[in-house]
Amino acid sequence: MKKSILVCDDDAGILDVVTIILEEMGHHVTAINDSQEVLSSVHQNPPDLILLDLWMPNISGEELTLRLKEKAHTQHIPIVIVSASKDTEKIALTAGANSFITKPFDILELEEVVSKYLETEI
Amino acid sequence: MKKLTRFYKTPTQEELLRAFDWFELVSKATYDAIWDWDFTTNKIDWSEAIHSSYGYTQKELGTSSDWWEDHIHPEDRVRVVRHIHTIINSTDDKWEDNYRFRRKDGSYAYIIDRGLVVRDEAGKPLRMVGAMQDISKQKTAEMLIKQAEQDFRNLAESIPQLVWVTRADGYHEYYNKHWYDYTGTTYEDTKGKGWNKMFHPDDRMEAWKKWSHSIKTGEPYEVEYRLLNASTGEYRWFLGRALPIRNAEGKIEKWFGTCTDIHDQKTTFQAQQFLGEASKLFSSSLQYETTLQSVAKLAVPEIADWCSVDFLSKDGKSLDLVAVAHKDPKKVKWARQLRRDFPPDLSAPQGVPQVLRTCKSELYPVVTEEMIEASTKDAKILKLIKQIGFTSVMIVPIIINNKAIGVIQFVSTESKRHFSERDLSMAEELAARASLAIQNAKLYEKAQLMEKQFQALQDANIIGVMWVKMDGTLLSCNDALLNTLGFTREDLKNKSINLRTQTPPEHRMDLKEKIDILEKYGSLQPFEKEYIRKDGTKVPVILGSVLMDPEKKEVLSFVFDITERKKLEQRKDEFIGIASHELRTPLTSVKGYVQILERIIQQMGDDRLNTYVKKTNTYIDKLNSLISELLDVSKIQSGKLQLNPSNFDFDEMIQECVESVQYTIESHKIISTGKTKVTFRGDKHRLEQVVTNLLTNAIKYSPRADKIEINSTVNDTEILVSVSDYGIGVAKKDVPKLFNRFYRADSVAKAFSGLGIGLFISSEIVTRHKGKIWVESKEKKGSTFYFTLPLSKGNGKKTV
Repeated sequence: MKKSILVCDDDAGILDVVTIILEEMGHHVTAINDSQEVLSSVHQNPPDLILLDLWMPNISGEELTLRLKEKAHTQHIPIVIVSASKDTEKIALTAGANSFITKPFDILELEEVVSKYLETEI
Repeated sequence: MKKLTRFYKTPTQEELLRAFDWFELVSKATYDAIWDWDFTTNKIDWSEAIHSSYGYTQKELGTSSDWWEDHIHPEDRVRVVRHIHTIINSTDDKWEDNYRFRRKDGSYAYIIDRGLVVRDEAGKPLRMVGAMQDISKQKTAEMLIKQAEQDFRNLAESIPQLVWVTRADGYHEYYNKHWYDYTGTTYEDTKGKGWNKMFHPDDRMEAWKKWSHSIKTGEPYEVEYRLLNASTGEYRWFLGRALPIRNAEGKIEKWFGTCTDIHDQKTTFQAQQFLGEASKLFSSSLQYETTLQSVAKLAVPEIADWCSVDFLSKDGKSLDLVAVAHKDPKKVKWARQLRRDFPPDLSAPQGVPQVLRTCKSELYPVVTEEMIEASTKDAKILKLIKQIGFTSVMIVPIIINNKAIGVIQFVSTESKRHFSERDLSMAEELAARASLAIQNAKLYEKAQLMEKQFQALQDANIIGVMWVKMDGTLLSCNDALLNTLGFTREDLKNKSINLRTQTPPEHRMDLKEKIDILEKYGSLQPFEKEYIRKDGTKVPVILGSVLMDPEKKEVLSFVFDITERKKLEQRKDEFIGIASHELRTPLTSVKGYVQILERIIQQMGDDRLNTYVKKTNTYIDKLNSLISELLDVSKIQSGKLQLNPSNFDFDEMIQECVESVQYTIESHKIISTGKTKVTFRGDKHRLEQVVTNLLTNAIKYSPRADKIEINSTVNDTEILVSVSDYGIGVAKKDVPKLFNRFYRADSVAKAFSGLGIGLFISSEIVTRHKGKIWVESKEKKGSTFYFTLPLSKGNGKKTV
């Protein structure tokens, strides 16, 4: 079953790689480069899963998580935060993220997490 | 007598009768034996006194002149008899003679006999009348005086002093033999005032003055002077003394004088005085070269005619004349010139060079012609030396640290003084004092320089310098320190600064430890700490200390404000943080693409491409772990390494590490033994890092081995993990540094790549878990790394 996933990373390379992997898995991917566009996108087309980079210009992954988790109509959407620093796991989880992946990640690790929240088979 | 003469000239019967009576009376009244010798009968009549004075009775008396002659002492007899007959046969009337006359008891009386010859008109002697006066008593006194004089002379000759006697007016009329022996003079040379010529020219005036004074006043005479010794040509010191000898009326008859040789005492005293003066000079100034000049001057002319000081030059190849003294400044100048023209040959077998080589003094009590001849081959120098006229020489070394740095020379010339062992001791003592003074001066110079340097360091205010009591009281400091701590001089004066209270509570435990070290070892290696400034903010510093006075518990410390460095470090950490993030971002993309590629290639079934892409992936992971390590070090440095504790199965964690390392390694077999059965609470990820680091190190540093071993055990209190290899091992000297940041053992650095921070990070992680990490190693045999993790305090619990 095709699910929709929103991915936001300020790095175009990572955004591309993640999109390829997720599309390979058979999902619909909304790839957003500018974090400021995340909230409006979620409002217009609420995705089944959100993957956020933590450190981004304008609005950080942490802040986006906080905002999405405080609103009733978005708080149910699982959020996975991807960060280059293992030490930020606590920040991510405290903000309300459902899961945390460190960069650089293994494809399998990403696929496992995505499947877990979308309840799909890899 | 006149009457008697008249009586003999005109005798009348009456007159004769009267005279007879008168004669009878007189002869009874006197002790003199009166005699009347009639030449016509050769008969002598004796008065009564011959009995009372000499013991002869009337019967025993002979009546002829023969009897009288018989009783004269045989030694006097011929002289006396001849004399009286000469008078009788001449035209003289009066006879007088001294002789000894035998008493009845056999003893002899001393006699003055006087007689008058009575002649007729034609001058023919008729008779002789006289009187024998016994002067034995007077004669004995006179003889006693004579004897006393003889005794005095004997005494005077036998006592060791020079003895002399003068008349009341000071005219020398007697000297004992010692005087003549010592001065080499005769009576004619030194009688009267001649003695003065024997004195040292410098002492003549004084002695003459004192002597004249004594003669005039009768006060005892006492004076010290040098007297020329004829046999050695040397002037020796004497103490001259004289006392007046008075007669019964108290009038001075003679002066009795002595000269006592006090040369040794005097020179010893002089030497002591000289040494004392020299010591004073030495202690008065630290400019020892000037001092040595003064000391050399002090030595002449009392101790020696010449005194010079030479120092060995710094390169030890020449002599520098530091000081030279003689009472005549012209000669000093000449000596300096001489030295310039003829620098001494340091290879000479004796004299100064030898003293410098051996550190042993040389004494030449008498400098002989042969010695001078042997001293040099240079005819010019020889001429000069002869000109100087050496009498006696001593050379003593100035020794510092068992090395002769110079010599002091004493030379006797015109004074003809001969140095003795006693003089040499004095000279050596002087050299010892000079050496001490030089050392003191050098020490002082050094201390001053150090003080100057230290003061400059303080005043530069680049670094905080302070005197502190062990209890933290700040005694004194420079401005830099006040600036660092934000205090003022006023605060210091008010004694309101205590460095213990200015230490943040979290540093106080550490401080206690440091003070213990300071007390034990006397100094404290610089370490980082913080102080609370006056305004309450904290300032990071490096503190180093030296215990200056263990008694007073005073400490000298330097404090270096490292705020700027800390800021830089912070920026560096931030930079590393950002850099690693920025590095990881493209790395994430690369890793993602490579994995996508890997999948595609797997589907294609191309084994070669598959191998390459897998290897690429491995190197990406390696690159990633390097970035992680850098980041970790930076975190450890800034104290920001955080632990994220969780509960996990310890054995499983070990197993995972073993598998993941083994997965990438084919060269070695990892043999894992032991089980802890512990659910441990700690940062699993970080502990994995430790185990992985130890395993990869073990493989890396045992390239020729084919296995490594890991063992885990547990007791009631802690888990113990060991990782052993059979590799190159660690040299003993490297062991303590092994866990330092960026440290790589020398032997390792060349052969293996790496940042050398793995063990540093592992050590930090273990320590943060309150565990210990260490190594046991043998070079070329292999190493075993151990770490423990305590179970108590919620760090872990045993699962039964």
